[in-house]
Amino acid sequence: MTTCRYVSSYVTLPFPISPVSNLRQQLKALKNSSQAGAVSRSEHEAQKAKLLLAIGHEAQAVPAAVEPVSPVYFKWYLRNLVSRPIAISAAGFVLLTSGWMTTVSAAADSLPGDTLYSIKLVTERAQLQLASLDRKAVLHTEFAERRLDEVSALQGQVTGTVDPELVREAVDAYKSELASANANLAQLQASNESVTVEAAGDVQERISALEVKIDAAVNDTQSTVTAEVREVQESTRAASDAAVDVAVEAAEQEDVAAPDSEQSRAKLEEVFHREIGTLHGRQAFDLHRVETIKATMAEYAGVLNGALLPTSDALSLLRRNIDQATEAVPDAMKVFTKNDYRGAFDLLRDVDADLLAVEAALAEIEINIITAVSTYQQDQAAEDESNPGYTSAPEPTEETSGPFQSPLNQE
Amino acid sequence: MSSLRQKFLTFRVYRHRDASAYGQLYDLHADRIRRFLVFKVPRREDADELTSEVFLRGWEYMTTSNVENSGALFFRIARNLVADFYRKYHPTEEIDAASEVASRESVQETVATKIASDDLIDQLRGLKEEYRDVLVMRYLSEMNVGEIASAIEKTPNAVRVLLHRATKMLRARTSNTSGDDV
Repeated sequence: MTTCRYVSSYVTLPFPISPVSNLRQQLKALKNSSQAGAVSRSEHEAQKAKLLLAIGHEAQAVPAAVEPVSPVYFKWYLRNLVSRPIAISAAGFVLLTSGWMTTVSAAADSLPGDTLYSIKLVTERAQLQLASLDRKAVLHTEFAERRLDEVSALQGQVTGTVDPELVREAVDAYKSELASANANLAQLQASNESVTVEAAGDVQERISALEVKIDAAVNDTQSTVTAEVREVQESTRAASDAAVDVAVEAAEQEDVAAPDSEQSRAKLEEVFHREIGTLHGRQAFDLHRVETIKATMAEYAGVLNGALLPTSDALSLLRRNIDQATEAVPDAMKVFTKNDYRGAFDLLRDVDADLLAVEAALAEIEINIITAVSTYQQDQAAEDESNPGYTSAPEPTEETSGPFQSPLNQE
Repeated sequence: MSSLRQKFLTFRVYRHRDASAYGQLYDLHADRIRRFLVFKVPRREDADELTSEVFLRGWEYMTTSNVENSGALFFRIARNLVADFYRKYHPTEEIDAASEVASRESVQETVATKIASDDLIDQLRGLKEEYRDVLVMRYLSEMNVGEIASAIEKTPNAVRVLLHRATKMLRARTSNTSGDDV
């Protein structure tokens, strides 16, 4: 009203429109002008009544239903603006997370060839996508362990026949995971990251744990080593060596840049001691293999007559070589204390090479034994078929599979 | 009226075909739509007719679809109807005379006020369409920036910019006119 009065008094002055200052007030004053679309209350009500009539309704109806304080309004408010959004989002969240979690956890135990196996691989890839480079290397070793478990589980399956293709694929996947871990370490080293030594140390730690696992499985089955197992062992060893190389080189680079870097030295020392531990473990394992060969030769003495086998002297020589292989370890430790990391690890490499030579010889002997024994067993089976009543001697003391089952065939 | 209450009324119309709820929405929006239309079509009675048409179509639409924002819907229908109107419009008719006959001024309106407001309305009509729309909505219909933004389907910031430019433009036009007069 004030505005109206103001405009009215204003427009009685000689100039019709205020040029600048009161433009907004003048505009607001226009709202009462019929020219600008204003209608009286009665006119508004008449038009409203016409509209309501047109839409088929008496003008004054059920006003209580739309009162904001009514229970209807309250119920509507609760349902539409509180309960429903909460319920929908909660249900969505539960469905999404529970569905995904269930699938992922179900997929975790899947094996190659299972329907859910691809989900397991997808989650692994997703984890890798989100990880930093040093973490990626460690993740690859974790996944390598899973592949190893899969090989073991596949060979341990009781029902049905195991598809050798699947085992082959799992072994290949294991090797490629290890290769990826090493590739990540190489990238880290190339980009001169400060975490390289630590990451390489972690990777090496996990790989040597894998080595221990494989050796333990072989030991437990009291068996000779199959080609697949040897392949797994070799690739694991190669990966471990590569990781050590990266650790040593990175530590050397760091030594030049920052000679007092205690952290890297500690990590490298850890790697060094673990290497020594692994070498000792292999030494013990090789000694065990010699004993197994001796025992098998004694057991199958009659059968193995024609086979190309070492004399007991040769076996003793092998044994001595194994014993002496680790003699360089104390020297390596001394060299390491003088900060010559490369020299120390080179000495350990020599020990490794000696053990590898012995292991190659052992593998050859084992293959000869396996060939001879399986030929004998086939002959025996053929003889049994032609003479069902006749029981031949000597009978192997173990089951038909004998001691020659896969060492990874362990849960 | 809060937007929550409008949502409730819209819901009543959609779910229960509640005409009294629609009547409340009419109370809220009819003036705004009429003012919007008055500046779009040449005659006052055209604007009244189109306003009734907007609310009839709004009822048909709102009873069949769940509408999020009833105000924005009415303005959209109004814009479409204006477009339809000009498709059928024949400009040979005597606009000014008809407008004069049809205008219903209140008895209290003085002749001087009428001159002043006519002048300002002329200036408004001469403005660019989007400038005129925001000025009418903001000062004549007293809508806030958020309401204008949803009515013309622009962001609140864009509306503020438009308002600023529109006021400046109108100011320039009115000062020119008064300068000429002086």
